[in-house]
Amino acid sequence: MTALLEVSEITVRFGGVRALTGVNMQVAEGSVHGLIGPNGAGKTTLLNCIGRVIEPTEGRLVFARDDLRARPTHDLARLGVARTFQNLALMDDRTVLDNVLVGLRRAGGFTLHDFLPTRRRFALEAEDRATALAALAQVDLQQFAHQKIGKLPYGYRKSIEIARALCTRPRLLMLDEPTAGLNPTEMDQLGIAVRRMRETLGLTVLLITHHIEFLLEVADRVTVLDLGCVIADGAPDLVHTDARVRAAYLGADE
Amino acid sequence: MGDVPFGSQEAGHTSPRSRVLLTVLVLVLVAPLFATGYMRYVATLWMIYAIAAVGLQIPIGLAAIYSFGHSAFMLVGAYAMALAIMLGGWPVPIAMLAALVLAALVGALLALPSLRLSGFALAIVTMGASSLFFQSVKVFKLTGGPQGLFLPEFAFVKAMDGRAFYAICAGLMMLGLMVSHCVESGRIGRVLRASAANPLMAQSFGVHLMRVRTLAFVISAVYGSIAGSLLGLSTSYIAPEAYAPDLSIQVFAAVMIGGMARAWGPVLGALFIVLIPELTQSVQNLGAIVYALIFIAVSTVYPGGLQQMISGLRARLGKRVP
Repeated sequence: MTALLEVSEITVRFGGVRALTGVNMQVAEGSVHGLIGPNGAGKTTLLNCIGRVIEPTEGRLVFARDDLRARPTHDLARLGVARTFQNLALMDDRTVLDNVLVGLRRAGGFTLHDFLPTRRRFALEAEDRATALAALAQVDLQQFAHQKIGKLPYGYRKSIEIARALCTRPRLLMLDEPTAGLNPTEMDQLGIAVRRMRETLGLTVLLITHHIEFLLEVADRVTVLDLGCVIADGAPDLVHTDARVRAAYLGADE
Repeated sequence: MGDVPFGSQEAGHTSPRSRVLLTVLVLVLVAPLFATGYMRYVATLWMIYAIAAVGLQIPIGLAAIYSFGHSAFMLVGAYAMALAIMLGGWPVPIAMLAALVLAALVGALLALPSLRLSGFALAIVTMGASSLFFQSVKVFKLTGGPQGLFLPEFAFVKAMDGRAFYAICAGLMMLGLMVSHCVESGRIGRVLRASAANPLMAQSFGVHLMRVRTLAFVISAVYGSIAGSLLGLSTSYIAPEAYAPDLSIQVFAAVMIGGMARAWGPVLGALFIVLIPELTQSVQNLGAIVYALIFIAVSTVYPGGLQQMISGLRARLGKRVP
């Protein structure tokens, strides 16, 4: 398998603080790739670099042979990179469907149909709603389509972010702590949903998680960060076998 | 706004509720045709201010861009139209269109600082633009200096005791309302709301911030320009004071008072800002005082504007009469 995403020597400095130091990572096409590490390891910083929200100090980001660092943030969705946000970025006063619709992009700019109640406009709107509902169905939340987001539990909102990202028809889906705040049943369902998306949509998934059982369940490969450096990279069970990972992880956690 | 049934927003023109609303609106709009000349004049002003307010609601209500530059667009609409008519001898509709294009350009220029500035700072800059245009037309001979411009008398403005002109204004208002509803309920609205809620999130989903903010300003400039042109035609005299920065605040107040949750909010707010001065005309300056007091009261008690007040009353009545 070839690498869909290649992260080479990425370094991020905030003032004098080194958030990431020479990070290398290859995400294979069609894989579920886990990104783990103790709190403050730089996982979200790395995701933000790939998502072009943070400008790295050094290093290269290549996505499907495309130099990501030459791209503005608003190009990413079109290139096929979509994401969820660690602290949720939803419009709480709108419905679930409205929020998911934000992920939809039609080719081309705005046309007269966006300003006038034409037949074509209603056809396109109906099409968009159907796509959004289908994305919601991927995370089993279509029955909440017309509810206000603000009233739904945290775990549902995380999944709604996934549905919104799916609307962009991504090749790479980046999930920032999708398991945070989920109970074991919900986590199982999420695992099933992630694997199903990989199978049916041909997605590549890069996910940050703190739940090792979840990671072992869904991931094909894992990269471990600690204090901004990659300390291990390989099959998921290295979290049990690699001494450095156990030291960083278990030492920090327990 | 918890009383909104599922999908009424998306279904738009088909739901029975909006059909009732539309009927009420049409009745209210037709009534001035049978009223006295003075009432029709006031209703004409209402329509003109409503066009301006509906346009301003797009940057404010959708994109959370607080613009106090609306009087600049109205001024361009009035002055550019007048100059095209007086100097170029252009027919009124063509002159209005030319003014509209110019106003749209001014709108695009005003959008430039919106990427660098936000909220309060941007509001001040747009206010500055209002002032700049107002002071400029007072300085140059071309624009009539402090005296302003006198338009030639147009028969259609006075025709049928003002009924024709009122009908034109009301028709344009309805057209404006329809377009703003399409903008609000469609993908432009979605993109603007997303960029207001979280610019980084919006960008991650492919929103080009500068482009959509420019679009919001340009749309509002088009409305402002049309309203400004109509205001000029209605009096056939374009006084610079009529397009002073105060006007920006008035239209802004119309949007805030009416409420932004529904397209018709600014229409209601516009009625308010037209009626209060007319009703209190007999006592000097009382209008301004009453107006200011009501503005403070409504904004404090009902941050969602008159429409929040109305839905609140309806909810209470609904409980009493099941």
